[in-house]
Amino acid sequence: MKRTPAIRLYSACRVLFPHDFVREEWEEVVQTLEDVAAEPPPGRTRAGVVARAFLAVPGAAARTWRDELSAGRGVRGALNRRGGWMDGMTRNLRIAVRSLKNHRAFALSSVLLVGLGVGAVTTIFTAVDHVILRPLPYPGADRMVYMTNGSHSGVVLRELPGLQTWEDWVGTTEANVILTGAGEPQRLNEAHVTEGFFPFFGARPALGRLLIPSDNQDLDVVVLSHGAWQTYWGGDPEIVGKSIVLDDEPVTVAGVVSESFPVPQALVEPDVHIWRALDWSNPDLEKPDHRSMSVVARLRPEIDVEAADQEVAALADRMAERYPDSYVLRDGRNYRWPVVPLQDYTVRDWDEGLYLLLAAVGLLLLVACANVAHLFLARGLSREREVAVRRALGADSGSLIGYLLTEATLVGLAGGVLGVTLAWLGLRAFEATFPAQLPAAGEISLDLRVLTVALVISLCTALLFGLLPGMKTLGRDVSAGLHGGGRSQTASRGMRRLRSGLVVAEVALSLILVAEASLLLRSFLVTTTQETGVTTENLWVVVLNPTTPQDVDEYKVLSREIMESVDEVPGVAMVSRALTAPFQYTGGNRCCWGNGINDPEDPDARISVSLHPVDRSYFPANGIELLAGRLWDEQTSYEDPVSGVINETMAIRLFGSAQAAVGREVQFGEVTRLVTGVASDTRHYGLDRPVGADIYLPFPVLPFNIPMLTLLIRTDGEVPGLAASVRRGVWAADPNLPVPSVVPIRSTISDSMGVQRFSSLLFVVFGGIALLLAAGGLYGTLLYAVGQREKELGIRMALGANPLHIQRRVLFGGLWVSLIGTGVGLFGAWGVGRTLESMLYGVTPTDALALGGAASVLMLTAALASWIPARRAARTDPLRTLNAE
Amino acid sequence: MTDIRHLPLAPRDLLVLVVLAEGPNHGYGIIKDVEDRSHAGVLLDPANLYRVLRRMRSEGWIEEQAGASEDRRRTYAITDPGRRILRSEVERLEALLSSARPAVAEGGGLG
Repeated sequence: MKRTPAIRLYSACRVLFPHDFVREEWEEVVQTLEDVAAEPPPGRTRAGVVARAFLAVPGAAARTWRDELSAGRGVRGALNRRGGWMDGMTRNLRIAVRSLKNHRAFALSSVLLVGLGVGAVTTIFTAVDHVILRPLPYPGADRMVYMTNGSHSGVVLRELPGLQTWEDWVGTTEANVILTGAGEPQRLNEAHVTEGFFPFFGARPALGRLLIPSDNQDLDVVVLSHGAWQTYWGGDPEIVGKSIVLDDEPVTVAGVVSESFPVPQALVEPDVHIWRALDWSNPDLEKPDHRSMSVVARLRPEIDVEAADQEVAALADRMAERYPDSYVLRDGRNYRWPVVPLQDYTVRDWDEGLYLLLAAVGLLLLVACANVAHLFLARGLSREREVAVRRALGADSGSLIGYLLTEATLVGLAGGVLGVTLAWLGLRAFEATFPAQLPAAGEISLDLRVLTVALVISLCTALLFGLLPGMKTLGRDVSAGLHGGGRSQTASRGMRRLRSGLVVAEVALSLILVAEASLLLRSFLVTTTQETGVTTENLWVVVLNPTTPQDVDEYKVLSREIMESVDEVPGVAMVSRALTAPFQYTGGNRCCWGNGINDPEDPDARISVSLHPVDRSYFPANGIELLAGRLWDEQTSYEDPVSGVINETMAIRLFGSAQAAVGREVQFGEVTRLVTGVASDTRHYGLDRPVGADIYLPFPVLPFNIPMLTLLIRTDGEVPGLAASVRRGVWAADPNLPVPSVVPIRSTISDSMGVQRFSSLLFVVFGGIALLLAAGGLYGTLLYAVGQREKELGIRMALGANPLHIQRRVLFGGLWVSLIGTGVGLFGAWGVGRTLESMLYGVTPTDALALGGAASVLMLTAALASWIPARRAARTDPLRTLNAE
Repeated sequence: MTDIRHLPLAPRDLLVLVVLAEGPNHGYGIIKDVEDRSHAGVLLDPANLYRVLRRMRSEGWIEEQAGASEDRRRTYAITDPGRRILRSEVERLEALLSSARPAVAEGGGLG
């Protein structure tokens, strides 16, 4: 008599009871439950009876154990010599290990699938956990807020102590300094901090002491970062108290910050070398327009961000009243500095991308799960005869399920171990790809929590996708299984439908991943194949940032000397100065000189213009064409109005065309510029940014001193030893100026695309894996179906069926299922693509080429995966299959 | 007598003995009879029933009747020691009840 699944499951509860009890009573127990359930006592329902029985199992099992042990049968009787409870476990284990060994392909592929899925999810989850979920490792980090809307002036800073909602706050600003007297001159990053910065973030010294409030008066000491101490002073243990020379001035080293101090990345760059107390006597701090300070505060307990925000808004209103020229916006509104939780601000550039990755690996895990289910289904079906024999020999569903359970658990555990190993490797790779940029809370590493999650996911995957399909194969007819041949070997309709459903799900999920990958890839290709606007061959960039000039005249003299000196270097054809090289500042950053001009079409709007002080040689060196007019004249250019060259975009925006712009004037506030020529556009601020308005001005008109200087060098072909000779050239003009590197502009461009390249590569990998998995699932399913129908096919062939016809049927069967999956997947990809929107450039989330391409790739793969089984079906040898009986 | 150490009987045990005292029965029958009597669901789960039956059998209160039933179900019958235990328990309960009644009557509960 066939038992219902509920009764079968109840029967499996035997594993909880002592052996003797199971052997002597269990069949009766299950029989009785079946009888009671079939004919429930008046007033009871079938479901109620069964539910009650299940609920009573734990108590009954415990009491039975007590009875058996106290009845003098002893532990051994309860556990028993052969086939008892514990023994049952070990026997199951033994059988499972043996059978997995005998079916190595099944064991390996299922472990690999679970491991791959879990590994990917664990890697990304760990990263998400460290970067986004964990609180920043500072005291009271949950109460820390960041004051947004750019940097703040010293006058605002002086008002901050009066804020009632703030418990404490710190401000920082950054600068470059040149270290001399320790080998080659080095450019170092320096952070200037307000009083109490280190205690605020809970930092500890590795050596000596950190900054104390009196340092903000004395200003003669610095604290080294651990990295700088190691790199530039070789970890000198005697460094404390020594004098070092920064920007030609000696200062004393007071201490070294602990290596474990995570630099607050909202405030300073992660590679700060030198920490110095803020000099409050700096006259710049009295100017409301000199905004250089970043501010983080810790709110008082029980104060919410909104309350703090309101108080800061009130402060902004007071500042607007006091300094209307500085703190009232052009449209009459007052400036605002909304405060946001420090955590949110720190991860602002990362959370979206990381969550997207997490979703992608989640999809990958699902595809892997579907394949695990395939494998277990196929395994269960191929084991049908074995199961039937066991059943005929008296094994009931319970013991068979116990056996399946053991097998699935083993696969899950092995997969989990593999997954964690892969995750460990994956994290190393992840860290290597993003060394400094990730605002990680400490080192990204696996911890017990994540390990537990990984193991639970593995076990759930194996049990859910292994046990359930396996159980589906248990309820089959005993006699059919024993008879071996016959039609019983054809998969039942329900089973076929289940497997087809799995393939549809797999194809759909894979398509989403492949579509995302192709969207990102297409966006990446669109971006990288974009015109850079410069001729990249033989163009080199040298970033120098002199900090010693005291004023702009000194700066101009020094920069001229450096340029002339480098111009003498053999092989150098042209040199030009600039503040920044093309592609040096990308990803939304602008540097360093900008101005707004009125929009001729819209009186309320402003066009923001980047000003580039350059030499005349800048244009030929970069390969920028002059579209109209001419360059400024070396002799007459510095009189008012100063001549300049604008880019094509700006010319069209302001004057309609390049030709129309020549000879016209552009008003920058009080200053007038005369347009002498129009140059071709460059994507100065990144390939993924629209071209903005640029004006090139003669370098000598630069009105301010700035610790930035970039040389653009065009060489005559390959020049051996260029870097060394350029260095010598620079040092001939200024022996103390660091020359970090001489890089081809190609690598500057390539670096600017790093994040896009990384994300598209990652998605291509994920998409590729998903594609393989889906193909494998389809292939396996069809191959299995063909194998099952071998006899039927053999008979058909014997009766004269056309092999091509059979081949086509199998092929179309596979393609049909894939087509449904593709349809579902396209719908999903269309929805998921929207979440990618911010990462795409030049491609819409519904880009037909990308989605169509993904669908075609998938269908092609499906065709290939179906073709092999189809061919095999067509080659069925009627004689062999019929003889096999 | 050794019987004393088994008293008082658990309600489940008592009900099983009562049902079997009326005649041999199998597990399904016991559940139905007990349910008819108590409507309390005391014995609805078979695992516990067979645990109790197994213990009683090992105590010698009941025995399995070979071939007493036509179908394959096992049938159980009460033994003499079983009857003695049942009688002792019922007597104990009656004594208990008769001592409890006046208290309830004075309280006016069952009057």
